[in-house]
Amino acid sequence: MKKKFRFDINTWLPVIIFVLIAAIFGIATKGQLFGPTNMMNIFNQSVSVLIAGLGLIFVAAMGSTNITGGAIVAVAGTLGCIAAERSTGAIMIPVALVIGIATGCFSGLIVSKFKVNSFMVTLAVMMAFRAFNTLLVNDKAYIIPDSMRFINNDVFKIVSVIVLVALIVYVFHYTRLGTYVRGIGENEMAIRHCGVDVDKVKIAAFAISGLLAAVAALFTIARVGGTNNTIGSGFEMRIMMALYIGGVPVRGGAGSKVYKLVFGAPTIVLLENGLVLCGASGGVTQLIRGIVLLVAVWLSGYLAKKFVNVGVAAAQNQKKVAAQ
Amino acid sequence: MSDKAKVLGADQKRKRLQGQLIIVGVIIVICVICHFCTGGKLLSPVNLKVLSIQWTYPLLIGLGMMFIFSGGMVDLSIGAQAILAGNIGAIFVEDFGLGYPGLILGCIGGVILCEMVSASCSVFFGIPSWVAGLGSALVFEAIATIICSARSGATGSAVVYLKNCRVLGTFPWIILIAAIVFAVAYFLFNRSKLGLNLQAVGSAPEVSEAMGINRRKTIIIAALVGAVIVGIGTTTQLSYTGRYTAMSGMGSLAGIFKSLAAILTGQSFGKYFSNPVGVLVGSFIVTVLFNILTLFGVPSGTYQEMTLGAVVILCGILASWKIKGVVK
Amino acid sequence: MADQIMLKVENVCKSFGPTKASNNVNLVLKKGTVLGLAGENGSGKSTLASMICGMQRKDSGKFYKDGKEFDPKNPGDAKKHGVAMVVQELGVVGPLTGAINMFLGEMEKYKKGPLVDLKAMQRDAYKQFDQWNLPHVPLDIPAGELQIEQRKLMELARALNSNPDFLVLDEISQALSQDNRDVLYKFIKKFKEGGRTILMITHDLEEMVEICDEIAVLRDGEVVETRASSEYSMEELKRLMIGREVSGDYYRDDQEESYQKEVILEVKDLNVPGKCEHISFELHKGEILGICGLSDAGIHELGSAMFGLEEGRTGSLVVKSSNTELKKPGDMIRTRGAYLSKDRDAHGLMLDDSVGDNLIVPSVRELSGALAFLSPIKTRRLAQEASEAFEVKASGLGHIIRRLSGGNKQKVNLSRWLIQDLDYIILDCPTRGVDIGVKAYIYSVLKEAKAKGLGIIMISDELAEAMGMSDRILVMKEHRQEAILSRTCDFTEEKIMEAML
Repeated sequence: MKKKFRFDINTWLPVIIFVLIAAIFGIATKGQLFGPTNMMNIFNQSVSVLIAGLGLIFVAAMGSTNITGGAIVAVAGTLGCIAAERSTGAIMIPVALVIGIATGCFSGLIVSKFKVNSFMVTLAVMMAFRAFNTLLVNDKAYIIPDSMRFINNDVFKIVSVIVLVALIVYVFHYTRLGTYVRGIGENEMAIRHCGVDVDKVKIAAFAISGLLAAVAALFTIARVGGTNNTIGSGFEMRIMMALYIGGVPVRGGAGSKVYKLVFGAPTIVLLENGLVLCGASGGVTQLIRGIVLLVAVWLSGYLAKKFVNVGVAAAQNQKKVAAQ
Repeated sequence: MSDKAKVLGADQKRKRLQGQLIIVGVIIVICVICHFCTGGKLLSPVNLKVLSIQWTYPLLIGLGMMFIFSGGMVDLSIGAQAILAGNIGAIFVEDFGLGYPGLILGCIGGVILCEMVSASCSVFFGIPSWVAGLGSALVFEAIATIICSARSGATGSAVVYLKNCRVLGTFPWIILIAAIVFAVAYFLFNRSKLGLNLQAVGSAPEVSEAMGINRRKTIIIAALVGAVIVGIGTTTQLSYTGRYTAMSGMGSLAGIFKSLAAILTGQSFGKYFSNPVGVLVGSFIVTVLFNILTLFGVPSGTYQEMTLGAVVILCGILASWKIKGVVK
Repeated sequence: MADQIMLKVENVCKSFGPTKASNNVNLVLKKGTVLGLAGENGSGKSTLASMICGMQRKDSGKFYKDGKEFDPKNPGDAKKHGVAMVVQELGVVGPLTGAINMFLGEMEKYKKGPLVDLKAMQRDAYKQFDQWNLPHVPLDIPAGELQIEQRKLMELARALNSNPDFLVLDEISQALSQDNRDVLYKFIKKFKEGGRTILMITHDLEEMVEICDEIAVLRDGEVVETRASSEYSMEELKRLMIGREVSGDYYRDDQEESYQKEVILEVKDLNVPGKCEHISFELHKGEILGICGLSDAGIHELGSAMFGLEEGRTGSLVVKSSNTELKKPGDMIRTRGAYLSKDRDAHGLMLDDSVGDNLIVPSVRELSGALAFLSPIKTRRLAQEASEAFEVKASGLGHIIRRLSGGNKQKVNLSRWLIQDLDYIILDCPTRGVDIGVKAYIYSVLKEAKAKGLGIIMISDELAEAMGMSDRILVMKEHRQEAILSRTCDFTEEKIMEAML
């Protein structure tokens, strides 16, 4: 039996939004947006967002959230730099990754075992980490050791992104962990009744999101050249928007797909970059970001609902036909 | 009234009272111990005055948030709303010379307007409330930043300072206002049609709708009341500190963290105190805690914020203690 | 007076997807009488009642009350027309006091200035209790802290607030102890003496025959018989409820206990205080063990306790083949067991996901290959097999579960477990809310699985089903194990009822 091709707006929405935003700002900036330097710039900024998003999608698929992304970038980056300063440069990588995993595990533990809302938990962690980073940096800037600058190499970045995307697509779509996190987003009790240790799955999801936020931290500090007081601020919002603007449903579940993020991440970077090129101030950029977040979430929810209703109508039509 | 029913009711009430006394007793004992640990500073008259003034902000914002949250909306844009409204109020007074009416109109009206926007996003557009809160917070923060930076061209300062009309932030007034607001909030929440309907909607939406309560209307009106209380809190805080610094990148969330901790603490006492009293007790605990930290010389901006994060998690754990079911 | 008509139901239909919950229902309720609705679970009693109360809208047909057309849009609307209800869906608001609960949605009446006069509210509430001679319950503490029995009495008093002349009572007596049942019967008598009418739903048939003036029997959404209750015999009532098609044919036709000697699961002194206490039994290969009891006897809790979802469980469950003790839910799955909760939609299926995804979820552990690879080809094949083997009627594996009928949902729920190579399975009300055809299908599947040696624990609300299918029946009463009866000699209704009551 051959599968009929059916145009489903939900499937194509991330692509449409991406093209739309690229077109709007392409025209508004008179093509400046697509200049080779700027394209590279957009790619550079998308890398961190995309990588952190690849981790967050596990949490988002469960209908939970993790807004520690930016704070992990700051603390993992700073502690990594401090460790590198005191011993060899390569120690930066394990230090950062361990901090990421540990933070993720901690948030996951509180969310799963103590049943505290994930937004509250990660908000508190973010707050504490921001303060911790301020304490560490103490108005002094840490610089990434020269031996670690290879991370910012373009070829290395492109290869890493491809490898990471492939890896996450595999884990998220072709292993049972992915099936479980999406299932938890659909109906946590159903997954519990399948004998799955839901708490473990939750902790694993949060750990992955922490780990990939730490990887994003490495790329971020390599690009910026070091850490300071404000590094990674607003980053968590950017990751979340990359997911939601790409059409990953806020309530999680089966609609969570990695490809949506792959389009969502450059879309949000394009949006910000385009606004800056148009001469918008920081305030205006944030204003538009906020509005876009609201509209994107509303739109994906609205379309999903509408789609379901269309399905119901179709089912009823079918029934009527069958009755005749 | 049958005796059995009476006895059972009285028994429950006695247990509740016992719990209340124990909690208050423990707080007092801890305060007294800390009084001696800080070398007699904590309960000294000067510090008590500072303490009571500092208590008002988390209390007022907490009470406002209680009305907004009780209907099931977790709206965290309140910090950004307060910043935006506070700056509008200050500009009304300083630039337009509108005096006290301008201050009050700017602060309270500003918060009402903002809250209606973010509440509509979640009630009418079906956006999950925490996302709606984040999105609106971004928008409000941005507007405040834009206004302040536009003004800085003329005055040279990005911060709007309130120089006149600061009586509401001085000692007897600020306490008096907080006390009146608490009393009103208490009766409104526990004894009025709105409050009772709101509690019903918050804990059993289907039952209350079946009993003929208009769910959306109740949530919106409660959000309105909450916005007025937050607006009052903004007014007094602006009068007390003289400024609201515009922040971007979700910095406004930090401003409501103490209130959030107060609400969560209040909830963990839910069995013994009704919500408004819980917020009162919770905000007191949080205020005293930070006062003690300051007295011990713990620097703010770093260690205090880290403690606050830990406290919020701890309160969250206590508040959801023994909750069964699914938590996202 | 008894000849005047209070409420007339004319050709009322209601369907949920392809399932017809009410099919051309016609009823006449006279003033000053009590009409009982009898029928099995899923026969459409509660749907009919909730349509009259305005909790649900009917698809077509008409209600007439006092001769005028009556189309309640919501419970408040029904209340204005003098219709009130005590139904399961309409619970209480836990954190608010009983008095407030009783006048929820009527605060306007008690407004005193800006506030609400709670004292007057409580006074009026107790007046209501006194007027109908109901025993007082504490109304000044949060309603959530009341016992179920007290809560039901409060709900009854709440329903009487609006001074209704038509009252719907859905399963109210189940929660009541004997002395409060007597109170309820006295109340019903007093209520109808004033020329008012009651529509009553109860599972206790003896109670129904005793209390009701007329009984209407519903089956698959249709009224099959309406007569004065004195004209029914118990046997006849049951026969009408179950229907000829079901008896005999669908259940097992042998009358003997038959299973292999090998013990699969051994339960020793399983104890969850207040839910199910001191339960011990053995499940054999190829056995269907029924578990029966009144609705609050703890039979459903026993299921989830065995699976490991109840807190504070003591005692032991041992799977004999591998000698493993079951502690966590995962242990049961690993020892080739399964548990299907009674609440299919909340605990079993992912409603907004596709048929395919739902079918593979329990099997993804076994399907995972090297590097935890979950082959889409393998999962698709499994889903295809399961849906074909169980004749799931859907447009394809991509069909969203929410749009399936109850019966097809249950087929998906069952097939995804039975397609696995299981040793034992715990089924909690496997035929709840499914139509008669699917019911028969499920029974045939169970018979087949039994023949293959699957040990089945079937928790059931329906005595007929348990008697028709089980080898042995474990009867629970007040959370305790009362008896284990054998198909060979003990399967008479008297014996089972005696143990249950």
